[in-house]
Amino acid sequence: MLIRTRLLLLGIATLALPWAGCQYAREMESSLREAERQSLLAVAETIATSLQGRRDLLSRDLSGAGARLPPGPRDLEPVPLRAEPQLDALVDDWPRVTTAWRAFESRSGERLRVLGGTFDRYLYLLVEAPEDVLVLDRTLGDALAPESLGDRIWLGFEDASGGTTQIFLSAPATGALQGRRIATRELGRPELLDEPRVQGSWRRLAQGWRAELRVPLSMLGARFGVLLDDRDQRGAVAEPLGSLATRDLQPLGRLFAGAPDLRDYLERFSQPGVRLIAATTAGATLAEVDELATPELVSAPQALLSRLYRRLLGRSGIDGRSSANERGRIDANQALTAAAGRSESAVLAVGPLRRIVVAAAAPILDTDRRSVIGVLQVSQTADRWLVLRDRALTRLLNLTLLITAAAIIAMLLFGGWLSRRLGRLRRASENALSRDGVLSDRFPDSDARDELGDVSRSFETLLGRLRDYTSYLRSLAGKLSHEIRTPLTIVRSSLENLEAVPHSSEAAPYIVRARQGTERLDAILKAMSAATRVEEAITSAERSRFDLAALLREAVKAYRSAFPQRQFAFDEPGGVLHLYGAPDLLMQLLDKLIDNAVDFSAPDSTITVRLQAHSDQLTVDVDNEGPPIADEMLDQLFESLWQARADRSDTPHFGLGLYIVRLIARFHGGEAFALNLPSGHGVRFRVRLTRDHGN
Amino acid sequence: MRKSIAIVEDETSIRENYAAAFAREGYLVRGYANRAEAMAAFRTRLPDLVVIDISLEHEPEGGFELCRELRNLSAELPLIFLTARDSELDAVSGLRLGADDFLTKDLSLAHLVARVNALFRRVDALRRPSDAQQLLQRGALKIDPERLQVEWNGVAVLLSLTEFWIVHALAKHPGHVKNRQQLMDAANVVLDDSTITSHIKRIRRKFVAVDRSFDAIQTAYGMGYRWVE
Repeated sequence: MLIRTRLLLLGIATLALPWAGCQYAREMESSLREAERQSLLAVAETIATSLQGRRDLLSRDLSGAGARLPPGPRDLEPVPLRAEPQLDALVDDWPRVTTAWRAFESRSGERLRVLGGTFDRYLYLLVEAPEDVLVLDRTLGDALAPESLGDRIWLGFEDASGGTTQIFLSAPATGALQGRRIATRELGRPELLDEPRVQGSWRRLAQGWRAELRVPLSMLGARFGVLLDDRDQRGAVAEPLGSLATRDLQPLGRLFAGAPDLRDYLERFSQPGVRLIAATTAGATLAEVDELATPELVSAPQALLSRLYRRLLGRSGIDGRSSANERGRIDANQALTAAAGRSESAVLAVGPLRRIVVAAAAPILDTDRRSVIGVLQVSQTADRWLVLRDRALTRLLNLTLLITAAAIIAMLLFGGWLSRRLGRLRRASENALSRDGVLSDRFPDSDARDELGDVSRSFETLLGRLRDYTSYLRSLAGKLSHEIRTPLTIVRSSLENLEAVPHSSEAAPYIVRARQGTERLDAILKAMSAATRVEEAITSAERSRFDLAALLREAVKAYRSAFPQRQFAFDEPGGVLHLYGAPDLLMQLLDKLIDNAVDFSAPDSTITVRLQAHSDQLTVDVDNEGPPIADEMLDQLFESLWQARADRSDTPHFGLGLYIVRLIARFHGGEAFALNLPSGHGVRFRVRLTRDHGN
Repeated sequence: MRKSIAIVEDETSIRENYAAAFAREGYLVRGYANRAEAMAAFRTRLPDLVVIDISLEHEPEGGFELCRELRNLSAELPLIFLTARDSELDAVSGLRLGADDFLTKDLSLAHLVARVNALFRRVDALRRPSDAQQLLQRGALKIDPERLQVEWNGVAVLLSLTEFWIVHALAKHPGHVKNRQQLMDAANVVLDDSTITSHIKRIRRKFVAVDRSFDAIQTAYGMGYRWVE
């Protein structure tokens, strides 16, 4: 694995940082929530305690039989209204969806829907007969005469004194409804009395009609009912339907509404973001003070990033979804627990928007502190700490992600830098020893003070030693040849003297053989020191500026006369082409190349000398028509005789000659190499030289 | 009168062998093993020709030192370096010190003797003025073979013996290309190609020192050199 990749993985490991941050944020959130729950529970208990034994506030008779029964189909469960409704028989100031509607059906299929609501000290009623045709009372004459009777709405309720009161509303014309009741006078003569406290209005709908009524809560006791005397036409026999007994108009249902002062009482505890609900032990709402939706506490629309974070983390810590799907209702589980006398708090998702609230419920005890007369629930939006959590989390995540990104980038850069240095070191070590045994003398990064610098310096030291050793080996040949030359001279000069003085004819052949031996030895010595000598000669050569084209022109002329068995072609761009170097050495280089070309080509074949000028270079090609050279040999041709030339079939002349060519080419800032011409038409020896544009 | 040759060579066997070869040619040979011994003898009497090895006993450059001292004694004494070394550098330093020839020990005895003979002939030729050695005037160049003197634009150019004969041979036939062999013959020396090249370089430098625009010696690449007026 690459160093860069490893460092990248390390960098990715720093992603654990944001994760740890999340864990911390969650921890923080849960402790915040716990604190909130506890304080809310304390609030709930305090308020509940203050309501202890306040039956007068909590309700109408809630101690009777069946008080603990949950609201039934005939029981009216008014919804707390947000604002005071206009008595206009329109539904726009009523909650749109609610389960508080009560529906009644007559035997003949007529239907009636009743919805209750409380605001301030009034009970409001919506009465709808969806398919019925409203039949109006006759406006003139006796309102009690049977032939003048139209549709009539009856309200029957237990009054504050314990008796029951019936009030009816009939529609004399479109618009306002007036409550009236029938008082019994002497001799049982009925008399109609206006009841101005009960008011309303009605309106025809596309189908059926709707009435909106208002009754002061102070008039009402624990029992309550609504009944419609439905007539198909004026004076017809009424078909009653509703929650009043048909026979004596006694209320059949209960009214679940707190005393008029309960709401005022709760109002005292209200504060922004908090909702207070007082309910019966059965969970029916008696009064509500709702400041939950205070706008400034609703969390602002979140940025994409924080929404993403929230999704990643999840909405943790929510105990459940409240069973109360609409406003003004208490969660059934909490109501049940509190009714059993226990306080409880929970985090709940409320409503279709799934707003998170913390809800605490506490039982309201009777004066004997045993029986439970009601339930108080305090809810608070969790928006505040959700916003807090989100903000903290977002900042934390942003910060750690930024740090992580920076760490990864830094590691990538560091890795890149490191691997580039290592790469440089690797290339340097690969190129430290060139094919022809030249050791480079400098290593990259050897000034660096770190471990890589150490490695580089060690390499340099190693190379230095290697170079010393190599130069020792190189000079060994020269030294050796020098040392051997002296005894060889003794032997040869002795032999020559021996030849010169009279000696027996028997000795003659031995002398000849001994001379041959010394000559061979001599040849070997010459070859051994030749390379070194040539190198010395080349490095000490003097440079001057000269015209290479003129030199080649004259040289080719000379070669034509020197090698009449070969054709010489000379190809040049013409003009003057300057080179800064040693013309003698270049002459020597050409001699070697031409010698080589002559050696490897057939008589009468053509040797082409080509001079080409490029922007910075001059190239000299010497092409012969000889056989191609094996590819792996092409470069070895230019190596010194010494450089591992184990192959004895190569003549020493060949090896050293081209080695000198390369040395001279390099002396002129160029290079020499050989290539086979395409389609096997011979071999090209090319020399590149650095051109001199000097002025 | 027999010519005397001094051989300064620390290797006894070689010295003796060379001595024997020269003796066979009829020369009077004296051998010395080191610089001190040789100088002591030369102070009393100079030989006609000296053959010196470069490294002498403990002195790796003893021969060069000896050469310098000898040149102080005599400027014309023919002097040949004979050495096992064969580096260009040594040859150039030797010739710069005023040696007349620089030979390596792988030269055969016969060849060595031939070159010594040639050197003697050259010296003799100098001492025996002939018709051929009359004053030579080629433009700015004036050659006096009698006194081995060369002048360029009236200014004397100080050339060594070998250099003098090379210039003489070139200037004698201006425009003619003289190859290296012809130059060696003219100077009565046997030098290898690169030695001729370094002689030519030094000659040019000496003329350029006198006249910056000097360009009379031209290289005919692959062939030799020519004098241009």
